[in-house]
Amino acid sequence: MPLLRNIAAGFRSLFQKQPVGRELDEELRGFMDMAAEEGMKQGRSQKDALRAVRLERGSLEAAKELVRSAGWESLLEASWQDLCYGLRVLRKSPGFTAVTIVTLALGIGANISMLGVVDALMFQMPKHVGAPQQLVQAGLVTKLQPNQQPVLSYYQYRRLAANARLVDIAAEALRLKVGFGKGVAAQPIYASYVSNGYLRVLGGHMPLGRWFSAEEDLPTGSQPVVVLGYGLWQKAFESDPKVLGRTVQIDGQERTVVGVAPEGFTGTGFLKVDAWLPICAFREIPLPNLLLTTTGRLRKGASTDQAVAELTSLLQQGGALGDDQVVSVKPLFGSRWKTLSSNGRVSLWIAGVALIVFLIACANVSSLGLARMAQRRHEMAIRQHLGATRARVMRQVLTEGLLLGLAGGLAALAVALMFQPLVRAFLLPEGFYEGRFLSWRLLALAAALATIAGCGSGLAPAWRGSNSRLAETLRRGEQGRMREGTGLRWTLVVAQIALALLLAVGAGLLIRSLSKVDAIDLGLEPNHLLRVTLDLPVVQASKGSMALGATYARLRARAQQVPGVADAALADMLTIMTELTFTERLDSGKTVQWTAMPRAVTPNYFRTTGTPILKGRPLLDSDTEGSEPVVVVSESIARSIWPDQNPLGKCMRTSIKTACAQVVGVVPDAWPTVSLGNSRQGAPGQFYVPLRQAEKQGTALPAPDGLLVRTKVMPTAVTRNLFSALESVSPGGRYVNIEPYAKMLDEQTRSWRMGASMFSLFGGLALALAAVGIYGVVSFVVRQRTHEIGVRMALGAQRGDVLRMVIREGMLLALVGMTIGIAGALALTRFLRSILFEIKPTDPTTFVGVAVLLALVALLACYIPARRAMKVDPMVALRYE
Amino acid sequence: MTGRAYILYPDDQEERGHSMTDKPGDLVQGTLDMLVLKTVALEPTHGYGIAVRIEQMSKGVFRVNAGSLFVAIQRLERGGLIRSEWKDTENSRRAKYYILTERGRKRLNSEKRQWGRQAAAIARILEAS
Repeated sequence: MPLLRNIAAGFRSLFQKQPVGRELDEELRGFMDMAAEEGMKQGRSQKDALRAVRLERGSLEAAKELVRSAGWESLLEASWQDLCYGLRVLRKSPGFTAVTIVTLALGIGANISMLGVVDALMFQMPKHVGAPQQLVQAGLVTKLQPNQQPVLSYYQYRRLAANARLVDIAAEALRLKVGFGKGVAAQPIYASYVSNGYLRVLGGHMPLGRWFSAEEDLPTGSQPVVVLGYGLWQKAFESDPKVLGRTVQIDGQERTVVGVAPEGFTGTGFLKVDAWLPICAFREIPLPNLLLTTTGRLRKGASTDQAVAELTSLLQQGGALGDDQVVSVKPLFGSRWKTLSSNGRVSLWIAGVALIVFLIACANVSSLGLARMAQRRHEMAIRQHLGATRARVMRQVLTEGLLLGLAGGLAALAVALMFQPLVRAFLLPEGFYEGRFLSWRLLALAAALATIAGCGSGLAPAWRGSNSRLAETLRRGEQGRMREGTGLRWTLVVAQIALALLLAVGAGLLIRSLSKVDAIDLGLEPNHLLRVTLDLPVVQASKGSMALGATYARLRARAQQVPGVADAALADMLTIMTELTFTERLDSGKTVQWTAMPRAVTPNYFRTTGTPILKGRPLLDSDTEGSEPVVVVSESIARSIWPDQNPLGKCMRTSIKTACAQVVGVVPDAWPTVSLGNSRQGAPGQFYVPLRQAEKQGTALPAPDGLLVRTKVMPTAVTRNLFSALESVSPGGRYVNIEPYAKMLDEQTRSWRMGASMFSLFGGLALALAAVGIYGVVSFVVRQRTHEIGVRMALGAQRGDVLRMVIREGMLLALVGMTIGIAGALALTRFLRSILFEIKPTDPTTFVGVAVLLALVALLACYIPARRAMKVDPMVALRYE
Repeated sequence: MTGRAYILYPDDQEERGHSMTDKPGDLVQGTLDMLVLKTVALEPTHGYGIAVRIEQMSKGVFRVNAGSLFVAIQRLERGGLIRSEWKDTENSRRAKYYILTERGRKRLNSEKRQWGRQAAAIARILEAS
């Protein structure tokens, strides 16, 4: 009750200031008058009596002030005053305010954007997943590799799903690109093959229709069905609720739409899914061969150990547990870091870099604030002399800082929202579900950064500003202000330069890596080259089924008839890098070990890919099952087996089966696109065996799983015809993927491109901010020293002397900062190693280049104010005070 | 005790009168509150009345400063220990009269007891030889 009354009374005096003040006034005046009357009774005049009262009991005004400031509301009132005053002050210096807000907007905005990406990569849970901590992956792993992804066969899964009591299990087969629509009009969409319990286990709710039933999930399922992804439903059906019951063509089959998945539902993954299909709809692999990943929800109170025990006994009963297998149940959302792609890692790095930009921005704002405070010394000194305590003055200045921080934060949010689609498209993996960007986490972060920026940049000026002695300040006047506060500002500038150098070195290293990546000799000519694949799972392709080979052979024959196509070759697409070790016994009796990627290709492979033949001849159509085994090797293999000898005509063991395949040609080493630049030793060696001899020459040869097509004209002109031609012979109407080879390369080099460009962007930003910092301090010092410079010139100093003096001081700062920065960079860049390519973290070229660049920028930043100093007119300067 | 004790704040603080230094020593604050409660308990009266009565009862030892007094009054009123109403004085002047509430009476009694105990204890300590 008393508390409430106190609050109520406080509000009354806040909002009814007039009446409350008048009441207090009247009461106090009454008090004074009564006291004075008492004095008059003793014979004094009214005037004397009143003076006596004032002396004895304090003045009316003082009493009023005391009473007013005793209540809690006075603090609020003072803050409000600070706020209004702060706004007024900031409005009066629009230049300062604008520069500060823009600086903060960039600094904070960069962080919000980047943390949005980090948030998406590391923290956001997939949508529509309830209580994710209860979700587990359950399945079998081999005893030798217990940390593998647990998997189950289809029948093991069926058994466990039907009988397990502690875990509710759903399964997911795979996510594929499939065709949506008929024939040439088919669009590629992403389909996920999952079990009927999938949505239930994850805990989502259908906005329209239903998930497919257990019955529809069976191999004997009555009718092919599909659950549409929300995005596809919006795009292809304009969110029409009458879509239920309609048939659509997916993956070459008519399917009935039974429901629409919740908006943004991506299952347990983070990649977009356009259609959900029952596992049995996946026909390319016979069910018994299919490996499934599972998602299970632990029943309340069940532990993973109990679940392991139950699943183990269930599988043992069914005799479905192999000797070398164990059941593994582990949390589904474990370490996100481990599963992060290299692009993701680069994104995290860039987020760290953004933080440095923020620090530099703060230093800049703080430095600006200090400069301004020096100009406001008189104001501060007078305020303090008029009775404001130091705390009060500090609070005032800090309020201004916070106001700026707030404005900067809001501007940053606007900046981040504006650039967010761009940032996301650039930094998140392709097909990443675009969830909500503005999470509470991000807003909290923006608020925190704005507050830190506000306090951080307001504190130093506040301390300085409140630490003044009026008499001294007034006495020393312009002279007195000369050096005050510059010490701190110098420190800030040194820190800025050091940080900017750090970023610039990072950017330099990544740019050099990128240029190395771009300069990689691929061993083939990627322009005018198309890659044609049927989106089949890797599991099957590597099994080398004959049927698949025949399929591709059919596709190849068809492709060669398409106008505009120069050639089409069959090869494995090197989607998995398989380097094998071989042993060769030389004529001399010695043995050599060497590693290579064996490949089986059609003879026209070299012509199609544009691989130059360095020595000998390519494979020929005449190299058939019946003829002698032949092989074409790449340079590094030739070098490692027969150094200093002509490899042509030598014998090579291409597998245990083949004792001697004759080397007929030498080609350059080729980078497999999938691991471009990931290997530290350079491109791996390959040898090429004619496809028709593949059976004969060895077991280790990967089966062809794609088509390489060289076009005579621009590839885009051919793509459409090629698609319709191949569509007609594609087995089961499977979607035919046609991609320019160059685009695949782009994806491979994306993490470098991303790193280099983002580092450069932020490094440039940091450099610009640091330059502004140097410029600010130097020009401030010049302005403060106008008088001194005038005296010097009057005493005979030449303009050049003045110029040199100012530049020397500025450059000294820059050099100190750069030294610190280089030391820091030497210590830190080694952590970048994992995203560099063929560049040492201490690459001297980069360090020297960056140092020179920074020195030049610093010089420029000093030169402009120095020129101004040079033009000081001694007469004007001396008369100034 | 000889001479006068002013119930007011040190000069410079008084002059500035700002929020940072508005907390007087506990003893002074508590004591003045208690004295105000006591005077109001005798008979409802206005601010000047309270001041005069404290001076009279202390035989001039305490002189009450207007600022301190009204801060104390505001505090007591917000705490619900006293309430106020505007009335005419015998000199037909309008003044705000303060009346002790039931809550205030309880507080006064407990403070009185506590003060008695403390004063006795302090006296014992000072007189110990």
